Amino acid sequence: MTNPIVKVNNLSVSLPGGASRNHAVHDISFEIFPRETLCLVGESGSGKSVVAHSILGLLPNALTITTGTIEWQGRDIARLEDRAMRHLRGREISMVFQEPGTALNPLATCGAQVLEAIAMHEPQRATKDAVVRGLTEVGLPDPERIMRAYPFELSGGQRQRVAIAMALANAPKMIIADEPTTALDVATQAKILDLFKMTQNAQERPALLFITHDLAVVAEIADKVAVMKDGRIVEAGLAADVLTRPQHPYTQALCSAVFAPPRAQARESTVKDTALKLSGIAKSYRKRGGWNRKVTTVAALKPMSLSIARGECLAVVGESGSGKSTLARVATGLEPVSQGVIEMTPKAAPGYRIMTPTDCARHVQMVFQDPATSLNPRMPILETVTRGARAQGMARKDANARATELMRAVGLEPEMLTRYPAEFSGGQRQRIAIARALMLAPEILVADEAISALDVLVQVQVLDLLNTLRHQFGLTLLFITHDLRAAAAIADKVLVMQTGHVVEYGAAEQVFENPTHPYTKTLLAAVPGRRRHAQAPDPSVSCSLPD
Amino acid sequence: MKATLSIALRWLVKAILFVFVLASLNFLLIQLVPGDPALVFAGSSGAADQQMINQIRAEFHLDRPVWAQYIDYILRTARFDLGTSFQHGRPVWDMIAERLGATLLLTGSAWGLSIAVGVALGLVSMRYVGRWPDMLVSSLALFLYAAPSFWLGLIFVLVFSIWLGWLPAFGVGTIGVEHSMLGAVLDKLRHLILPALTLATFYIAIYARLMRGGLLAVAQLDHIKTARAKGVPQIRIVTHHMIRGAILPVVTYLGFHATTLISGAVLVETVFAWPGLGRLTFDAILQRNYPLLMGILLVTSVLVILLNALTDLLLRAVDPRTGVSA
Amino acid sequence: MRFLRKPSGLIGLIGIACLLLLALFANILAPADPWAIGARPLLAPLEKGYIFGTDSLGRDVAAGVIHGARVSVFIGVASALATGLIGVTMGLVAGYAGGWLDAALTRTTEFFQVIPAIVLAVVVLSFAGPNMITIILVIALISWPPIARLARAETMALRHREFVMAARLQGESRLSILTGHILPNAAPPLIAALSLSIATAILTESALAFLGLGDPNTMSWGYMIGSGRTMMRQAWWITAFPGVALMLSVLCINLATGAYSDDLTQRLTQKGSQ
Repeated sequence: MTNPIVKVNNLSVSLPGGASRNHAVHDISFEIFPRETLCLVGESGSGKSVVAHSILGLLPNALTITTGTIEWQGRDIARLEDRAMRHLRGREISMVFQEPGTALNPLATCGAQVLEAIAMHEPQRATKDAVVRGLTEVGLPDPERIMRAYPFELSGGQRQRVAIAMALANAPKMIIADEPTTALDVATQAKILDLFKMTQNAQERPALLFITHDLAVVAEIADKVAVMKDGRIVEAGLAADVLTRPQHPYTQALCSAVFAPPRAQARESTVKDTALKLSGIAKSYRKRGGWNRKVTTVAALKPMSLSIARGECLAVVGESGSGKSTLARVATGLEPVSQGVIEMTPKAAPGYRIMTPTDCARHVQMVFQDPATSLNPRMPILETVTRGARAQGMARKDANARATELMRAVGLEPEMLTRYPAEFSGGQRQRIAIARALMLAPEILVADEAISALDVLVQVQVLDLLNTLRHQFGLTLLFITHDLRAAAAIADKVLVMQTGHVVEYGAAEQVFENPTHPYTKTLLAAVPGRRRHAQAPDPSVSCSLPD
Repeated sequence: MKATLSIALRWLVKAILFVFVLASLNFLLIQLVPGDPALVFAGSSGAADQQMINQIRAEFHLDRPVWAQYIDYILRTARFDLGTSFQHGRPVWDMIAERLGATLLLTGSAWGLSIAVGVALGLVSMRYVGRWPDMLVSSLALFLYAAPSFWLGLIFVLVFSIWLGWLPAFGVGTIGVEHSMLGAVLDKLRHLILPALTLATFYIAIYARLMRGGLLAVAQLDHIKTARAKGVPQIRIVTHHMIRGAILPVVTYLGFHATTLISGAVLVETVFAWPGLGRLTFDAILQRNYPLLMGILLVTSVLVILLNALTDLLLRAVDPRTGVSA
Repeated sequence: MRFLRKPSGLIGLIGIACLLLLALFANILAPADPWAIGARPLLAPLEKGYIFGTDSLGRDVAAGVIHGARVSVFIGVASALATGLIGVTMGLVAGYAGGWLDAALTRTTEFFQVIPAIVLAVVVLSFAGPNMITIILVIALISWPPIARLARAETMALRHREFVMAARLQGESRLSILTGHILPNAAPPLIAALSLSIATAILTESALAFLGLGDPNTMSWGYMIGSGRTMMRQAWWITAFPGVALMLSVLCINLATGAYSDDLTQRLTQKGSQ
């Protein structure tokens, strides 16, 4: 029976006064054995990141360890002074952070940074060859070029690989990874996850403490899992056990949010008329050059045609740069198309009508991605919600009445209308944004990554709300997302986009069960949790993977 | 290299365009002054005799139509012919050129001094952040930033020249004394200290605050955390990771500083009777010597463009992100 | 008004209040006309009841300092208003309109920024003749570029915010968006910058007066410093006290403005939390 390599006992870290609670983490205990992978799962604010940082003594000054110990190979390092800690950092324990964009020094080449990681602990080994080897190990082609490149010249995935190379440089005994895939594209996420799995397959693999908010990731790589909420561990154990037979209600909620099968759609048998028709749409942007630079054209949307039936929900799926957001912009009239025609049939008037930008306000509305910036911080909610309607000629009294009605429809108290955005949570702000969008009784609602910035459990709530409102108001929904699971939960039809092209289109079950285009297959395969981790089927909780 | 050349070329074009516009505006200004331009040029503070007025008319072709005068004016400016200062009977360009050196010496030393002392103080502030050295530096910076430069110069003169007698009050050199080579340089230095210090103090405060702010901001950045996680010692973190990033706001400010250096020089040179462009400006104001004033405006503006071009190149060298394609 | 809780903000605000009081009640505090030649010249401070002494013409320095406050406050505030009007308008329009209008306005801003400020002020005042109005206009002329740049930067950042896009989608007019959405959100840093420009305006006016280009009918601090320059050896107090008043006024404005913008940045960084 080997000893655990790291053992956290009753760790508590305090928060400065004025925070929502007085401890970031409270009474945390867990242990990790050599070569084992433990996943720490929780939503934002659960304190999982604080745990990771406290192991290496990287907490910001405002947070202090109040009680508990952190034993590394038997020795308590919780309150070790910096100079002694330095010998552990980067050599015995190394860390990979969430944002590859900011984690690397923007003013130094990647090669220099990897070299520094080696040179700090084993100066005699700090050579160019060692760096090349390190970069090759993490799957970077053309390591010589990467060495000379600055971080801003690389993609997010490449930067994260460099960060991992730095972490692996001195063959540490444990790696702490703090949400290393969260800031990356879906396909890149899968690749980086594969990289971590590869390191775990090696003979002398390090222990891995992997922080994440995504239970599906846990299913892919974890041996053990600990679920955190509000600074405490609510459930812990072997990954297979916890995922298939979750005991704690919070874990159960997380499981069903992540692993729920796609909703059975109410299938209308009658053929519906077309609500929105885009014919031969394309959009290009011209990048202005200086007096000695050429003007370049970027084709964000290649020519495409599309019809959405009334009352239907079409999910547009793709990664960043696929053109899905551009599609949303032109569909709502926020930006003009470079070519092609958008037509729309309002319910009141039969026949087709060309859509001009001014028509849009009354018939198409949008819910945006970031709840933090989609509401004017200096305006009370009532003003924000009714301002547009009043600009369109609605009387103030009527607008206020409608606002009250819509607030109830989205599940909020109308008394809250006098408050400011800062007083609401992200999920609540998205509801307010939805209410605002519905003020003008549009027929088409575009949701541009409307749930991506929310916590998992809140995502489910808002998705439910959108579905309910769709049926209640007879809306046609255009749902833009990179998250295939969300698309599966709400869409009738799915459109897959890649670099401005449409690569696949069809009914939701069709696309998800039998994808035809290779890109769609890659995207589906990249969804974490699609790949296996052993589980026993349990009918009481739907935690089995929809495979 | 090609990138640097293209940037330098861009600045050159900017400079030429700028001079053109400014010269045109100057011309416009002259035309807008009510009354006979010839009298205006002759100077309102001096008695202008008929001969001088005739001379002015001839030189500026004031009998020709306006557009001809305009073209003539632009062409002359392009040839570095900035007109004649009638009150001195000398070409404006000559008068400016002979004072340029002294001003460059003063502003150059002030620039260097302010950067060196400012950055050093910023580092000290950061090292002892929250403790008394930081408080001291911050308070000092506050006062230096608020004190008007011309007044501060006078106070320096009061304290160091009149009361303490350590340093000379005025001028650029002691007159009437023979010096050896080394002696002459030292003498010049002694005269340079107070004016340069006066011109520098305001910016010492600024650079100290910029550096401190920059260091504190960089300290919060993620890549510092990464460096610590790699096991890099604090000293190396400061020297290799923090300073380079923190210095960016300082370098950015250098360009703006260049613009205000000349303005500051006008005041400081007046206080210390330093024989540079600033002093010349002051005299020109007293004499209402318009050709001279406009010539100074043109030359100092070009100087500023030059300095801005240099700092722009410097910024691109320090920060690889502002590379060619930016 | 949370920034008042910081000691620096409080001190700054108290100082500004004193300055304003001096300016408002100058006639009561120092009923004597500062131009009046009454006393014996070159009295040292605290001699014969003249706390700041008298100058070479026997004028009361203390009265001059108190009345000088009026000039400084008036010119400072008026210039800041003029600067704000020009700068904010230019910046808002350039930032929101984009395209050729933005390019043209930006070039204009750059042009004015390159010209050394004092030199330009001096040239224009030499032509135009110094009086209150021309001085205020000239100070605005040299001060507006940084404000315009700030307004432009803020507007451009705000233009792409989602709540602005939502407003466009809801059919709000451009004017409505500018006044209702952009201006209120751009206002705080602009207010901070304009407050600072009051201090700069006061300093600029005193520099101009020192050089002899102040309004000849006003007893401003800069004028007093200039007039006492030749008598530093005999009567240092003529130069010293107005300068101290200048420095303290500018210091207090900077303190208050600094506390305000620190509070702003704190609030912005806290806002990101869900």
